Amino acid sequence: MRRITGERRLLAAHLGLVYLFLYGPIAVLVALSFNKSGLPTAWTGFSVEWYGKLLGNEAIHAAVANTLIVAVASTLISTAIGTLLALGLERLRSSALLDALVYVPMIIPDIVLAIALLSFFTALKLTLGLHSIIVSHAVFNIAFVCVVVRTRLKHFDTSIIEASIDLGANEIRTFFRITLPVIFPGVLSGALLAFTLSVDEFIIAYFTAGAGPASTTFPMQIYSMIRFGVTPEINAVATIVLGVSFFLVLLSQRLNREAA
Amino acid sequence: MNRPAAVIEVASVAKRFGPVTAVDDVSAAIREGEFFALLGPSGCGKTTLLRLIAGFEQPDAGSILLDGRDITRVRPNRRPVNMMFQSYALFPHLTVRRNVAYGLEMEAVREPELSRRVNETLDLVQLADLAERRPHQLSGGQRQRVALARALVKRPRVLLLDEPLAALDRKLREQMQFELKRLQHEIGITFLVVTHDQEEAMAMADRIALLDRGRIAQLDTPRGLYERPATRFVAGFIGMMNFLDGRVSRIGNGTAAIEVPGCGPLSGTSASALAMGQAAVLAVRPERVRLSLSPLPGALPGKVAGVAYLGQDLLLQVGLADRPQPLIVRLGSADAIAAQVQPGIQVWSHWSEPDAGILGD
Amino acid sequence: MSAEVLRRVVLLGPGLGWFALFLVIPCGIVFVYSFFERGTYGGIDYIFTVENYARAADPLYLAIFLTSAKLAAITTLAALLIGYPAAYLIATAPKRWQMPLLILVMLPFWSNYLIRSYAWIVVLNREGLVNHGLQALGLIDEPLPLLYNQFAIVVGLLYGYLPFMVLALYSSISRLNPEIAEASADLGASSLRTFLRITLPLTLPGIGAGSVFVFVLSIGNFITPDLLGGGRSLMVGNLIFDQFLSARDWPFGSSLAFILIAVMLLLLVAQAWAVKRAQGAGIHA
Repeated sequence: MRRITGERRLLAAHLGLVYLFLYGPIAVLVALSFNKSGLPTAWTGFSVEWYGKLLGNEAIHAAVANTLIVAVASTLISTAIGTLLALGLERLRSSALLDALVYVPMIIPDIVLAIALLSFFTALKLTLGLHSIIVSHAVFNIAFVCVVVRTRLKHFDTSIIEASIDLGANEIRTFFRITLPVIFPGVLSGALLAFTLSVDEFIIAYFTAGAGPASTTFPMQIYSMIRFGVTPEINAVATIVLGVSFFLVLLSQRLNREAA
Repeated sequence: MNRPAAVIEVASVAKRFGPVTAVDDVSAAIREGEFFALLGPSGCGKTTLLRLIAGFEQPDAGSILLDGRDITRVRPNRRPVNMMFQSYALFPHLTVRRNVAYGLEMEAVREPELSRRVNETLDLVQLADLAERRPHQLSGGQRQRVALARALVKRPRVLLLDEPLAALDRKLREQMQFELKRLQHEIGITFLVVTHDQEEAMAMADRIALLDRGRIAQLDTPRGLYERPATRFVAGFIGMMNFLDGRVSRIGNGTAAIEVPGCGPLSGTSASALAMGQAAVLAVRPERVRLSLSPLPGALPGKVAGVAYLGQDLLLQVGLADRPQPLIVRLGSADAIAAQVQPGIQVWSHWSEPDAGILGD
Repeated sequence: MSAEVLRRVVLLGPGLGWFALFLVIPCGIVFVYSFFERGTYGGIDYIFTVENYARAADPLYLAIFLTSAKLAAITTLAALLIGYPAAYLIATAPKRWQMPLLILVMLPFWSNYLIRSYAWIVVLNREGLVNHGLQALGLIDEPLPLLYNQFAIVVGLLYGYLPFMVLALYSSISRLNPEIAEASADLGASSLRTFLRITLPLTLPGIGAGSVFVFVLSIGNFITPDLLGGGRSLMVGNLIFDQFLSARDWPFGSSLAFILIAVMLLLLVAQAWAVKRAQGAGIHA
């Protein structure tokens, strides 16, 4: 139990200001989304008009649908591949170089990865579309899933694998009946992370989507709304996006805690 | 047809890990129904040997036979041998019941046979009312019993136990030593235990193989290891031992004498071949040393340096003249002389020739 | 194929294959492009040249690199100064409060980056909350130009990466053995001295890790300077974006990208080396 000394009061005040800094703008956006006038200058009354407009916005619907398709697909691919990769790296005691390679997609600036993938696809004369976004998102998602699952694997008692074999199971049965169920919370955590990252990802999608609304993702849509035509609908969009991501993060935390 | 008495036989088995030789030309036969222990300090190769028998390692040389059949190349999940892991390795996501049933499911055992055998084994280890719990809800001792049940339910030819009592606290450990012995006796399955604790091995095993750096130093009953150690290593590993170094001065029929600087010639039994002048050591157990308060011919003069009261016994350190190492002497607290020994008094130490052994280095 | 090799192929194959195909080769292509010339219509003339890299050293572009580094450095410093006390409080709070406090800091980090930069457009613009508030308080008469400049970029970057810095610092601080600080106090050091001479040096690896990551993430950032910078190519990320999409000079853009990567790698290697040295001295992140 720490006594509340003077300096801790100071630190607490500082932390309070930090929270103010972090949540202030968010609060403003949320408030604005319910502002009838939609402008930050004047509060003309509570209204859900902008949310209503949002519901009718076809372009946004299409973009959300595209984003979900991309996110689900890249999550499925990267969760499977990333989990296998994590198992491989953790159990097969591979080189430090391979370990480092896995971190590259996480740390490389997204603009660099974006242009690299664009160059790659055009060099191969591939048509761009949702499929190229999916493939591109999987690149960093595999890395993230791998890292998350590996962290989980560090607490994994490998002797249960041997126990399963000793009791008569072969490697495949052991994988499905023992390994997978035990690491599942970590895999789920990684999948959730991959999904979130994909849903939010803008620049790689922008470069690899090609032309046309058929492959416009939600972040791309948000970008053009911010850049080229700021209507108050954007505040409603922002509030919904923030709400969903907060919910997902808290959910993921819950899962992590239960599994721990 | 007669079943061979040896259920497991390792023949000239060797295993290397890179430059390190973990098991070096080991041969042994483990008899049906016996409680056998692999004992030794860490790094002696006992765990490697266990894993070779279980099938998790492949020997570089030699073979492993089960009931006379060569199983060296048989995969671990196909050997009728089961292991109780040091960390217990319970499946954390399965209940106790599912953990125990796992091995039977792998054998495609169906209901009602499956449940019958599981319940029978759970009763055997007294876990019946914890059957629906998960491992994290159990105590260390309970987890150990689950690990045991999980292996036993498959009725293996041999049960391998890797440091089964290491994770338990002292009281529980002593209790479990009796439990394991009783269980083994009741079921009749051959137990092969790996342990670094010589008291544990001595308490539980019918025969012990003491390993030193990949080789068997001695394979014998506990009494044999204690009373007739074959080498200095064995003598020093089991129980407490006094060592007096010297050079062989006389070789007789089953006896020998060594010249110990400061003590003159001391004799004892000798089992191994010795050469005159060879460096050798006289080994005598603390409880075999007799003390006299008055000078005795042939006894070693000395002075009591310390007395430790252990309840039933006294443990004394007796400093001998011209010798840096004190003699350790164990007396019963009820002995006549016990009341008179105190630090500083003069004593004369002696023992009878059959109680001492001369061992080559 | 032996069991061991099969296992390797099945586990490592898909992942490494994906990386080889969609990471290594694309980066390789970019590297190769950086040595070619721009074609007349925006394509690529396969003529070898180091012109692109030479051009990058042009004062015009050099200035952009330096500005990027400057803004990234300011952001990192600010994140460090603001983040450390926050992380310290959280790390020394009662155990059951630590996770909630930390999650509260991290929540914004997990939401859409575009939205997070957009939020500052709303707050900082001439009719936004800050200006409104300052005018209402009578501190200023005219609205301040807080948006579409370098100040806004720094605020945006700081907003984006402060949570990350707090997390990195928290990891490091929470791993300290509390008895060490207590020993320092026992030997007569004041709180401040204990902090400066014991706590701070021991958390240096965390500071290093957090700083390098925030710097690297900031310097390569595109969205914040694009939305908050006023539409001019103020940072490297924007420059590369322009080269690929407006100027259509892929070779030049590629060379810029590679210079950026080189700078990043240098920093990461330096940090890894520093961590190794610290570990040698007994300090662990």
